Amino acid sequence: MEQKLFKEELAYWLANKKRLLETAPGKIVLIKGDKDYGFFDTDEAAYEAGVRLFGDESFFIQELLEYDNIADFPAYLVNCH
Amino acid sequence: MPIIELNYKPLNMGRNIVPPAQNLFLHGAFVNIAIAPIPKPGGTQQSVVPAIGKALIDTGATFTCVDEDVCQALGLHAVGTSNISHVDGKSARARYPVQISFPDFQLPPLKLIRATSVILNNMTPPFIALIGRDLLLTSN
Repeated sequence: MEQKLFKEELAYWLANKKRLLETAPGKIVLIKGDKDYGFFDTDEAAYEAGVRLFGDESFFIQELLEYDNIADFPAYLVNCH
Repeated sequence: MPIIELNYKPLNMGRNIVPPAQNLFLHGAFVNIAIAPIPKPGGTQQSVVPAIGKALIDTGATFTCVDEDVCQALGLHAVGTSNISHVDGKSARARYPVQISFPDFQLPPLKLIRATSVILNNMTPPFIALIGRDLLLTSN
């Protein structure tokens, strides 16, 4: 994965994780650059809001969980670095 | 959750015909799928040709993932990242919004906002997606 992908958004997420978690635990937050644009109940609602706000530009959707989900792919994936 | 019935056909591999049971043994449980961008809210249609191929039903995968080359060919924009654990270690991968259809079954298209991108083009047969437990969970 390109290292610069969502560099600014990830930095914002990490810097504001505690506040965001306290504000809306379990919700989905929409982030663009160094600003968040609201909380949503579902991925789909967050995505539709992102498309309305930013069109074809990239935006970042993050589930507000204390511990990040690490996905397991035990069988098939190699050379993913 | 819908119940679908898969009938494996003999697989033509050059001079050899692989019988259905051997086909299942070699390739696992797979279905034909079409992957497309999610239609934009408001009804504007996109003129992107869907990617059509085979997807492995992978109950060992937490999340459904789509081949990175497919995501690039469809012109998708990432909407997040995911940390994944696999036999080769751990990686951070992009996540893309996709719509997955099943042309062989009467199932509605499924929107998956954060499908994980992975590299599948070195697999045999060349799967374009792994159907993970998240998609199985939503297929009701």
